[in-house]
Amino acid sequence: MKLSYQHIQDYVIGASTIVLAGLILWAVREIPPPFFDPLGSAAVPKTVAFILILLAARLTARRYFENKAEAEKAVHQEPYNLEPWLTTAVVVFSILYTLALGTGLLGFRWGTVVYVFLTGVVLAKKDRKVMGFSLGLALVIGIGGDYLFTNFFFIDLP
Amino acid sequence: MELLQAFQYLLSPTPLMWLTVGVASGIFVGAIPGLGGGMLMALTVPLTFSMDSTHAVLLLMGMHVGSVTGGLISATLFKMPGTPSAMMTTFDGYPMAQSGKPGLALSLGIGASFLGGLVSAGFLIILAPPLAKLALKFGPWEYFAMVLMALVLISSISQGTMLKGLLSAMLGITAALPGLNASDGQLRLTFGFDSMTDGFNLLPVLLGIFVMSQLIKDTVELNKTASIISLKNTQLFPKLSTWKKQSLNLMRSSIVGTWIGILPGIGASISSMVSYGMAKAFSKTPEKFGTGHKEGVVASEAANNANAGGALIPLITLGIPGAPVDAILLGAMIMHRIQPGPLLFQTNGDLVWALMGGYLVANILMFLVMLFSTRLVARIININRAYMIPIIFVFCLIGAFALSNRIFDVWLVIVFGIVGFVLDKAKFPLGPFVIGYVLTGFLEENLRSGLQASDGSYFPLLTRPLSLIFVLVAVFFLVFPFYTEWRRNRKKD
Repeated sequence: MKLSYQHIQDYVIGASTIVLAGLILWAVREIPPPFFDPLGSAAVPKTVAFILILLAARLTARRYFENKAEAEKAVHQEPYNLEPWLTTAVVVFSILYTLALGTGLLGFRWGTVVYVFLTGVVLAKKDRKVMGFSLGLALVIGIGGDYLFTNFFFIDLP
Repeated sequence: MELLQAFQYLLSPTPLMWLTVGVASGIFVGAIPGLGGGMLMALTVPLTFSMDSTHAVLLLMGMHVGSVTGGLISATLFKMPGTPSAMMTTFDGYPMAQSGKPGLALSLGIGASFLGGLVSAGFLIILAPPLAKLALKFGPWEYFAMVLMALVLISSISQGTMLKGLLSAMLGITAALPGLNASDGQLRLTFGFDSMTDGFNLLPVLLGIFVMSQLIKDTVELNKTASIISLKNTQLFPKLSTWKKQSLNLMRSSIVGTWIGILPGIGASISSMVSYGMAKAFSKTPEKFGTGHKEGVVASEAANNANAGGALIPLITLGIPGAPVDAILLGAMIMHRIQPGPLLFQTNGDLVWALMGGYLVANILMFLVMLFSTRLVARIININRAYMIPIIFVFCLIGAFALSNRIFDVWLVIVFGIVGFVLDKAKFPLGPFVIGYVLTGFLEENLRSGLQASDGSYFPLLTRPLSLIFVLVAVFFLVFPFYTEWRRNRKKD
């Protein structure tokens, strides 16, 4: 039986939620019982974990037992092409940018210039005009932003 | 008296300037599909750290009011609502604009937004003080039961299924659990990471859920485009005769919007949906809805703006956000060391009146800015997303880092952005997540206080009249959707 995209999404979220709840239950084992108040630090996370398991199980079960034909009918197709690879690239660029700033490999000024330009180029989809404008924008945001946030808003930058 | 003093203050240059900046930027950002008030407000919070707290809150409130209305421009001219609350406006605003009357559609929307805002401002000013007095009588069990009710309410009324709403709220609660438990100094759910000692800070979570997740969504939907309807040779000033015919619809929608706003945790989208449905039900020409009917535009826009004012009532009087976007306002107030709630009237009465008066002034400013800038905004909102996406992430990074100079907070933005995107893609409403996250501390604190006062007994939850009412309402909203689903399934079988 072929599963629809909605089924896979709900199964993955249901399973991840159960794993998360398991992690919570595992982590609260080490919390000592309360001394000063009747609630303590473990009671709320424990209760939340049990409710998460209950809801995730219900979500998964409902998907499993639902009428497959109706679920397929309810699938909504967007009238335009989605861009999963472009999105992955943008998220990866954002992670690399944060990593570069966090490790000190690049400062805010030049890190931002590189990030804004490269992301702009990827999103421009070969439109040279947009790429050129992205370069200008990258310089303005990187150099101008560095000046503005440091000297005007007094914000520390990475 | 206090209100007059508040107006005197609000009409002085600096507060008026911040309100105007907030409203104008809110309209502009609200009009751009894919952005929105929540995103703008979350990105602006770090820039307000060095500002006077009242000015900061006025700026954010202006943004909220402006963005709710700004969404109508793209909803009418693009058929792409700038903000989710303008979704219902597309049903009649766009067909009306397509049929050669874009000016009429926009003028109806602007006028309805303005009047809806004024009605809710009236309710805010009249209802907030007595409600705050009543809330002073609340004990920890009443607060605990009320937050429970709010969580169930937002989960059950949010778009999508109730199960997903509840799961989203519980995941939000989970995100608020790690860190140091202030009551007994115990670390929990830190998994040995020092960075987790403070838990997940509010701002990175909000930036992740409201901004980063939207950026990811915008990238996925990069090819989503629309052609804009021209506003050349159109009149944007509403005619009085049109309003006379719409007065009943306008009043009803404004009241519905305000009251739905007062219900904790329910946003403007639901208000406009309910009002649109009611306008259709009471209309003499329901068949015209969806084809460019004036009543549809008025109902949707009056309700979504009225919702903003209604939602301020629980925020100011109880410290409970009336809508997911209000969670940002609540967060900003807490960061500026203002604790909303019934005591705020006593501890910082000037601020409360300035806020309530500020909401009224923001609506007037919104009306004026919309009348004179709509043409300009309509021309420039079709910005290429290739420019916006990287810049907005840079602002997220600055905002998250500025909070406590930790790159960990930037990682949180990315993680919560991905979580928010995945949940949104799987049709989990994000409103309950945010409200759950924001209210967890308050919920646990009141449960602890209640248990301490009752020697560990949960009975006061059911023996105190007000908390019993809240519990019963919560149980009703929890059980009813499951019951109707069960009945529907039985009928099918």
